[in-house]
Amino acid sequence: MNTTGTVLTVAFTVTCAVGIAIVTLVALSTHRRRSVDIDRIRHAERDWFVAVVVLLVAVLAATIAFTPYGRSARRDAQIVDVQGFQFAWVVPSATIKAGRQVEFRLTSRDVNHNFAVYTAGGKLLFQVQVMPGKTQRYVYTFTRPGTYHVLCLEYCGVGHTDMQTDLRVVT
Amino acid sequence: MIYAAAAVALLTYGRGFARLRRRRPALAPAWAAWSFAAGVTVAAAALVSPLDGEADRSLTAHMGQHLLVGDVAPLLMAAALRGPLALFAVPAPFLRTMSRSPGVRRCLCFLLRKPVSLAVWCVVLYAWHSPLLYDAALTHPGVHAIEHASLLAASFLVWMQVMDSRRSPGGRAAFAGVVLLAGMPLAEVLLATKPIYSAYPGAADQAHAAVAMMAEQVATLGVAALLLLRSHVERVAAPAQPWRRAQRSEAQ
Amino acid sequence: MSAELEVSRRWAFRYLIASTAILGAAGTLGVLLRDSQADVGRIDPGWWYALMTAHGLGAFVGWAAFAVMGFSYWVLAQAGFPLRPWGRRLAALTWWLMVLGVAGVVVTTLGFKFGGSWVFLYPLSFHAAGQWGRWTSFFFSFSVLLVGLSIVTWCLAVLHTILGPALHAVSDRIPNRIGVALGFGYLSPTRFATNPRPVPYAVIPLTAIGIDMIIATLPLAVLLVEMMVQSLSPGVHVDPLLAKNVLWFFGHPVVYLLLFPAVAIYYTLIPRYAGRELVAGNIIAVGWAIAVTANVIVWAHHIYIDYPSGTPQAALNVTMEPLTFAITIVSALSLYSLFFTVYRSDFQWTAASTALYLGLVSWLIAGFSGLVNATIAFDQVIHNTLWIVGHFHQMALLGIGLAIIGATYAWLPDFVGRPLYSESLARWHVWLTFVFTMFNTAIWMYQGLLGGPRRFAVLPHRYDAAGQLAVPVTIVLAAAQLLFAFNIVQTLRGRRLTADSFGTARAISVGVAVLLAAAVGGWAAVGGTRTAKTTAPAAPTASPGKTVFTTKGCSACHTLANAGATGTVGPNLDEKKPSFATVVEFVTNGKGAMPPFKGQLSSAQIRDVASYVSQVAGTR
Repeated sequence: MNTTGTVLTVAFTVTCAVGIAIVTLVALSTHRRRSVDIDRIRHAERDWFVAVVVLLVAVLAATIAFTPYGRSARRDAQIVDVQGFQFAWVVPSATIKAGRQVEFRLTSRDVNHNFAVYTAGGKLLFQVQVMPGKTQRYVYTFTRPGTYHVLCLEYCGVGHTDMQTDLRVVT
Repeated sequence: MIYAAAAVALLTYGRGFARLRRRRPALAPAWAAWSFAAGVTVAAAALVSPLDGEADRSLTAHMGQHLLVGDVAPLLMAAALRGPLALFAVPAPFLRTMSRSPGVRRCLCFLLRKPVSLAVWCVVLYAWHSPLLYDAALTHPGVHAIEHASLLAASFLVWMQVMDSRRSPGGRAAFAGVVLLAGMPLAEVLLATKPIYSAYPGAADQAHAAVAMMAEQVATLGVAALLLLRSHVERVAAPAQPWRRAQRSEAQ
Repeated sequence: MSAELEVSRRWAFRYLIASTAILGAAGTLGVLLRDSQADVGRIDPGWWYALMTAHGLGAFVGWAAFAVMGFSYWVLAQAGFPLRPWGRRLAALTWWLMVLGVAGVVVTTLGFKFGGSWVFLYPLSFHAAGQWGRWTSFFFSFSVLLVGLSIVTWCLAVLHTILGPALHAVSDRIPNRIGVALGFGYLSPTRFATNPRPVPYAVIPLTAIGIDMIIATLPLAVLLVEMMVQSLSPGVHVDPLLAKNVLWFFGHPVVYLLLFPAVAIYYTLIPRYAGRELVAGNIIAVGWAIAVTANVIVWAHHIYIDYPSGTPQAALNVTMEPLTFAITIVSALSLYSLFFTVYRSDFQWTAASTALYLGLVSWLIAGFSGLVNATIAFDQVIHNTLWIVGHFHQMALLGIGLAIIGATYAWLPDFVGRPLYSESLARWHVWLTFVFTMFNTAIWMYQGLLGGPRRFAVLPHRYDAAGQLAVPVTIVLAAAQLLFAFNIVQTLRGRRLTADSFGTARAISVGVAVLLAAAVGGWAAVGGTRTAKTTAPAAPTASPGKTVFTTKGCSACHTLANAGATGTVGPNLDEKKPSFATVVEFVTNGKGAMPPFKGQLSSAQIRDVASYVSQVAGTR
């Protein structure tokens, strides 16, 4: 699992555990007849609103910088043209060098595809949609040499699962 | 020039503040004086400090400067002019002239209507950020001064409305929210397009400036709207929902 | 029952029956799909995708949307807003358009192999790779158009019902009445005045979605007409990026077509079981004001990973992250209110109320995973993986589904004037559905975090174990729905599982347990051997040429019996029987539509595959 995946697994599990604990307590609270100040809870909903907004802004601020947009390639980047079509990826012969920036220029001949690169061990490194009639650029630097596996991650027809290929990265 | 303006502002306010404080200390709290002083200091500092030099090189710094002069300072000053302070801060002779002249009064009333202040603010904001006028301000110091003054004035109009404790908090919350949303498209455009100002050719620089604007606007207008909304929601309900009280008394 | 309520009852009941029937079909398809992936009843990919298309549209629109649309009439009637004559006509029209549309989808997918998936991502409908014809594509688009129109007529029915005299709004002006119906009176009672009572909470989400779906569906309707024309006249086309945006402009609000009416059900029934009014502050109206607006301006969060160079899509996508966050506010507020309505109340725990409560829990958890999807930084990793499949099954099958199930158990007795056949059977159904769907979706979400792709008829081998685990889970889940169907049928027939037939209740419980044990045992026996098969070391009996053929994409386009390849994009190699030299030439330099592979394959690999193909073509 890649780093983001691990972070998500932990964060999501913890959040769900807390959520389940709360809802269990709420359910159990109905078995005992204890009084509750409805009006105060009703008024307090506005504080909950403020708390939710603050939390959302915090998550937004923490994550909005990590988008794949706006990355531009350096002048010495290796350019790799990728063409996708039903049902194969065509990647040219020049092998990719590790440690140097790569700019993938992806096109599709027919429908939407998604160029998804995995390590040999099955960790998803990145993915980017490839649309017909448009060029998609994606900048990435492979840190380790080896063989990487490519899947198509946008359903593109009956041979969708066959759209696989390998990328060789050398030192 | 800036020092002179700052001094005049501080003196005028100071005199009015002192006068009011002598009569009704409760209506002239100390924090208001500090707020006004802070506002003037922030505006002046933004214009004379090294930030001004930095602003020549980076759009982000220039945006920061505008945000301080055109948003933070006005809001601090508007907060300091709540209630009678607004009247006392204006020197007596000016006040007499204004009150005697129906034209001036009508003009001010018109400007202080919500749709009008919003419109003025939008026009000022978007006009000065159009490449033509923005670049003009960079090349002519006189135009630049007008730019800063108008940004401050328009923002001041808006913040006076937001801070006006006589009006309903709900309306003020909505107003602050609308102003926030009205400014967002500008930040969006700056984020989305290639560099549009000839003096600032960096794309990353423009993107950072846009983000800075969004963040600051959310932090000021957004927080104001949120707090005002919070204050409004339960206040409005109680008298207007006799049906709920009736239901409760029925249940008892 | 009064005449007015009778009309609403009748139509809510008809929608319930029709949608439940569709659930049976669509749900079964789901089980078949999942099990095929685990090699239990393997389905050929072309048909797998056709089933997937039918399952998606059938379950999402044909069951979930259709059911909540019907319940909305009853929710409104309960709140004092019965269907009036024009509302009734629109309700009838909606029913027919939906049934015909769904029927059309079933025929074009299960009958004519349309496999474009339920999003038919333009221009996939026109690149069938030999799987379906242009008339099939035409009728599929037409059927979806009928479904879209049924949504629009439903919105009109709902808005007509709400904005009538029952609203008790002081003003006659439509914009003001819409504001009242959206709950603005809770924020500004003088401007949006009602007399004497304010608008009931359940009305607000229905008004919101009634407005939003009209706005969202009309552009898609235009696109569908274009697609119908393009099916028959291929020269016509539109920009795929524009089409994608139009699709998702509809595709996001349609999810809320399920959620908002479900929220109206929760707002109605939870207070009833708690014996308490909904514990809501006036701020909840702010949540809905944000929701009705944000709903139609967040579509691009479905295309965060689409940002072709030179288009403004990236900037658009960035804007939609904060807007998407904003729309979660209404869920956060609603859940606060609903949970506090239950808190320390004298809550009546019946099968119906248990379903509703578990529905709230599922909404909360699915909301968390939704927030993950809404964040671009995370979406980069989970987009189009099985995480997404896990998320929306949790939301649709549980968050919405349990609302539907709860509403059915609560209101079916009212609809037919007879008590529910068996409370205990209903409880079994609710708990089995909740537990096993959670289990199923947890498996998906885990596979997705590992990078497991969605919409793969055959998953890569590393996800086999998890897929195997899902088989008994889906079988139990499917079996549990039989309890639902049985309970409904028996209720309609007026049967009752009475107290003195306690033996029968025990027999049913035992029967259910036996069924489950058989399902699990059956899988263990069958699945165990399959696992053994797939985990057996892959003996390198395949020649190098065959390995190249099967792993480098050749099977996708060519038919070659020896390699088990059935592709129809390119020529059938068993028929063509190309020579060694021909294969070398075509693979190296390409031919026509076939691209050159000289960059991807070494010359040794090309020679290997050439000798393989030239030897085995035409043989078994």
